[in-house]
Amino acid sequence: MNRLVLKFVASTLAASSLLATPAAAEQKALADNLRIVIGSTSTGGDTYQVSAIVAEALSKKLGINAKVDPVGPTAALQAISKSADGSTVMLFHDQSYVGNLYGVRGFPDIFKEYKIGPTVAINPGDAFLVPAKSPYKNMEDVIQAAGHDKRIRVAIQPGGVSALGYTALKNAVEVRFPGKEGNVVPVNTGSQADKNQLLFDGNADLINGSVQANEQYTRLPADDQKAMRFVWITARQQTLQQADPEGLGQTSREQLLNYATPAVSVTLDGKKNFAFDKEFFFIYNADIKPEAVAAIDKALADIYAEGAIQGTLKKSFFIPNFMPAKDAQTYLKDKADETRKLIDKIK
Amino acid sequence: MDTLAELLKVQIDFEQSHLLFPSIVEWVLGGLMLAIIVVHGPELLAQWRNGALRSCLAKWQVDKKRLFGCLALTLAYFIAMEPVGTLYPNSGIGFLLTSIVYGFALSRLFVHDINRRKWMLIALSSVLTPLFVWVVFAHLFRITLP
Amino acid sequence: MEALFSLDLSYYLLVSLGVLIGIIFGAIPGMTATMAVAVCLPMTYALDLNHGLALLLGLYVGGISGGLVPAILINIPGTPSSITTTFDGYPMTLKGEPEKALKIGIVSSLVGGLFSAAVLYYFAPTLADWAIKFSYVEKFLIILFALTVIASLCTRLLVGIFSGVLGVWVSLFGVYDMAKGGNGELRIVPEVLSVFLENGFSLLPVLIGLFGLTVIFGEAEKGVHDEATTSVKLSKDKRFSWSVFKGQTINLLRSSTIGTFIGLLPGVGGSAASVLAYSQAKNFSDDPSKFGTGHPDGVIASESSNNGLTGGALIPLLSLGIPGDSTTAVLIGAFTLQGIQVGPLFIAEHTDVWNTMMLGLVVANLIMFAIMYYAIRHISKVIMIPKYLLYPGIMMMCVVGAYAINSGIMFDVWTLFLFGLIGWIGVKLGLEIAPFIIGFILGPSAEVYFVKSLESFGTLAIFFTKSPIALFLWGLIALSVGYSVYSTMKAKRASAKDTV
Repeated sequence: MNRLVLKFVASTLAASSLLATPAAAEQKALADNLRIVIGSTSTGGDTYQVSAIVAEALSKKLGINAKVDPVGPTAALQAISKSADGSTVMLFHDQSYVGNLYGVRGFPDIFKEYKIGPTVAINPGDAFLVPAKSPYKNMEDVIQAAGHDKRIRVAIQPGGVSALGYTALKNAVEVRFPGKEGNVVPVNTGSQADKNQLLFDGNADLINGSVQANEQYTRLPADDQKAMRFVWITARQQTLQQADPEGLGQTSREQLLNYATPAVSVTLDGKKNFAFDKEFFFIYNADIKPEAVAAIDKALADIYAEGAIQGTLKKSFFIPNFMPAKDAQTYLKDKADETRKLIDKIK
Repeated sequence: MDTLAELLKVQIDFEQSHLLFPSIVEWVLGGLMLAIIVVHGPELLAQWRNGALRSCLAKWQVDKKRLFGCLALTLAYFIAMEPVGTLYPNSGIGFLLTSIVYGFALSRLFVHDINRRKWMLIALSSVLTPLFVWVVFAHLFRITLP
Repeated sequence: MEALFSLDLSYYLLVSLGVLIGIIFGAIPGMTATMAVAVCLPMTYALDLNHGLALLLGLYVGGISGGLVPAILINIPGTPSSITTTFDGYPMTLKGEPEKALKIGIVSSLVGGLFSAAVLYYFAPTLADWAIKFSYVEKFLIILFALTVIASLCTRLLVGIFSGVLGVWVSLFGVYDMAKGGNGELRIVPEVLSVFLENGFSLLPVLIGLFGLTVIFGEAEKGVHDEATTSVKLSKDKRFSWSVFKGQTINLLRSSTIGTFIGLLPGVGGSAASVLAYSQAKNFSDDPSKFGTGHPDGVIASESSNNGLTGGALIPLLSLGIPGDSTTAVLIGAFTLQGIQVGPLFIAEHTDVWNTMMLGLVVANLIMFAIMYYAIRHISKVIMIPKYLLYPGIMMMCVVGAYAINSGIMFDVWTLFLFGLIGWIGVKLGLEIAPFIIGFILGPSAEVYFVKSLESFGTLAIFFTKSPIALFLWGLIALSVGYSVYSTMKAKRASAKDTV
C-alpha cells in the first residue's frame, strides 16, 4: 500500500469521531462536536478558508471535532441563537455589522443581540480594478473625473463590505468636489464573474474585486480583452505590510503597497485617508456560558502563541490577527461606530 | 422608428427591482390560467355534467390506513428529529434514534401478510439502515445531522 | 504524456476512491456530486494539490454519473441533471430492461465525459474567450431557450407551460438575492414566513420531494401491494448489446456538445444541459412519440450531456477562475486551500497541475465506466428489495440529503415534505412535474439576467440588438416554439382522425 494513501485514510479516520476518545469525566467547557457556522454559503470563499484553518487548529488543540458549515448569514445567526451551551458558534467578518449599517434585511445589530468573540485574521485583499486600457491611471484620475462631471460606474455587491469602498469613494468626491458625488453611481451585481463581465462588456468603469481573484488578470498582455489593472487596495498599510514579501502570485508586497494608502489617497475628511480591514471574528449566542468563551479564548491564545497557524494563514494571503473576545468586542464596536458615520453621511 | 425605441425604453429602479420579474411571471401565470379555462373548461364542465368526472372520483381507491399512517409518521419523524438531537448536540443522534423508530413503524405499516421472517427482516433493517447511514455520513463524511 | 509515468500509484488509487464514493453519493437519492465534493474537501488537507485534485475529480465524475442509477431503477433522479434520464430510463425498467438501460446510460456517460475532457484539453483558453462574449443578455436568451423547451416535453401544451411558469414563480420566493446582485428585498412571501423563507426553497429538497416522496406517498395511497418494483424476468433479447448505439453517433455528439457548451457558461445552470439535449434529441428524431416510453435515445441524450458538463464546467474555472457550475464552485476551494489561484494564467503557470488534472479527468471517466459497467448486475438488484424495506430507507436518505444540502437547516427537511405533498396532489390535478422543476431550476437565473440586462441597457430592444449571438438565439427560440406548436397540432389532427 502506498504511504500517501495510508496517510490519507488515517487522517480521514482520525477526523471521524469514531476514534475520538470518549468525553472525559470532568465537565468540559466545550462540546465534543463544535459546529462552526459561517456567514457565507460558499466553500471557495475567504470565510470558509479562514474558518477551516481555525477549525483544524482548534480540533487539534482541544481534542474535539470542530466542523465548518457554510450556511449563510441568516441561517448562521438563527443557529447560534439556539445554542447557549456554545456547541454552535459562528465565524464571519465585518459584513455581519456592515449589513446592518446599510439596512440590509436579515442583519440585526449583532452588538446588541449577540456576543462578539475573538478576532482571528484579516483578509487584506479587497481591491478595485479598471480595464487595462482605461483612461483612468489611478484613483486620483477617477476622483478628478467624477469631480469634472464624468459618470463613474462602479460594480459592487450592494450592502456588503465591498460596497464600503464605493461609499468611501463617493464620500471622497463629496469632500473634494462638494455636490459632485452623484457622478459616482453603483452597478449592483453579485459574483466576481458578473463583475468581471461588466468590465469586459464596458458596462462598468471600476469594479470591486480582490487581489486573490484578480491578480492573474492584471498580468495579462494589455491587448487582451480581459486585462485589468489594480487602482486601489482598501486594506490599511500596516496590515498589508505584515504579508509575506512575495505577496501573491507574481505580484510582490511592495507592488501591492503602491495601491494602498498612503500611496493611494481616497480621503475620508480631507486629512485622513479611508482604509478598511476585513476582519474575521467569532460571534456567539448572547447568553453563551462564560466557560465556553474562556475556553475558546484560551485555546486560540495558545494556538497563536505556538505560531504555526501564522504560517498557514499567510500562505493563503491572510494576516493573522488574534484578539481575545473582550478586546474584540470594544474594538469592533468602535470600528462599527466609525463606519456608521461614513455610511450615514453619504446615504 | 424613434417612437418604437422610445416605447421600448425602461428605467429600472433598483430599490423596486425585486418586484419586476415576479409581477411579469404573475401576469403570465394569470394569462395561462385564463387560457386553460377557455380551452379545457368546457370539456371539464361537460364531463362534470354527464357524470364522468364524478364516477372517476368515486372509483378513486385509497388505502386510508397506509396513506394517512405514512403521512402522520413522516410528520412525527420530522417534528421529533431536532428536539431529540439536542440530547447530545451536533452528533446526529436525533437522526439516528428517530430514524430507527420511524423505519420500524413505516415498514410495519407498509408490509402485508406479516410473518416471523418479515418481522425479523424489518427489525434488522430498521436498526441497521439508520446505523449504517449515521456511521458513514455523520462520522466518516462528517455531514451535520440533527 | 510523461505525466502519466511520473505519478505514483496513490494518485490512481485516489481517483478510484473518489469515483467510487462519488458514484455512491450520486446513486443515493438526495445526495449529489456537489455534496460529495464538499464533504470530502476538508479531507484533502492531508494531501498535496495533485493528490487532492485526483480525489475531487474522481468524486465529480463519479457523482455526476451515479445519478443515473436511481433515475433508471426507481424513477428518482439522484442528481438534478439526471431528471431527463427518468423519462425513458424508468419506462425501460418497467419493461424489464433495467440492466440494458443502465448500461446504455453508462456508455453514454463515458462518451460525454471523454468528449468534454478532450474539448477542455484542446480548446479551454479559446472557448473561455468566447464564453465572455455572453453577457447578461445572451445568458438570459439561453435560459429563455431552455424554458421554451418545456413545451416539447409536456403532454398537454397549455398545462405544461403553466406548470413551467408556476415553477419559475415558486423559485422566486424569498429575497431577491444580493449575492446575485439583487436588492435583498422580500417578495411573494409574507413577512411572517420570512424566518423560514428568507432564501426561498432550495432546489434539492424540492427535487427529491417532488420525485422521491411523491413516489412513496403515491404507493402508500395504493396500499404498497407489490413487494418489489418489478418482478419481470430478464429475458435474453432484452439484454444490452452494443448494437443499441448503431446510428447514435449524431445523438451522442450533439448531446455531449450541448452538455459541454452549457457547462462552459457560468451561471446558466448545469441542469439545463440535459433538458436541452433531451429535447433536441426528441425534436430531431424520426419518431418523437417514442420518447418517454422507454426509448434508448432519450437515455443516451440525457446521460451523455450531463457528463459532458464536467469538462465544460472546468473550462471557465481553469481559464477564468470562475466556476461553471455548483460542483466546480466547491472545487475552487481545493485550489484556494492549497494556496493556488485559478485565473487566466493558471494553465500557463501551473502546467504540471493542469496536465495531472487532465489525466485525472480521463482516468476518472475510465474508472467510472469500469466500476459501473461491471457492478451493474448487482446494482440493478436494488429493485428486488421489498418496498416495505426500501421506502423507509429512501426516506431516510432524502432527509440526510435535504438536511445536508445547506449544511444543516431543518427547514429544508420541511421543504421536502411540503413538495412531496404538492407533487402527490398536484399530479392528480394535472400538474406536470418535469416542466415545473425545470422552471424552478431556471427561474432565479432568468430573473437576474433579465433584470440586469434592462438595468444595464435601459431598453427592451437590447435583447435583439446586442449581438449576432442574441439574434441566433432568437432563431433557436422561434424554431423551438414553432416546432412544439406544430407537433401538438399534428398530434391533435392525428387523434381527431382516429376518433372519426
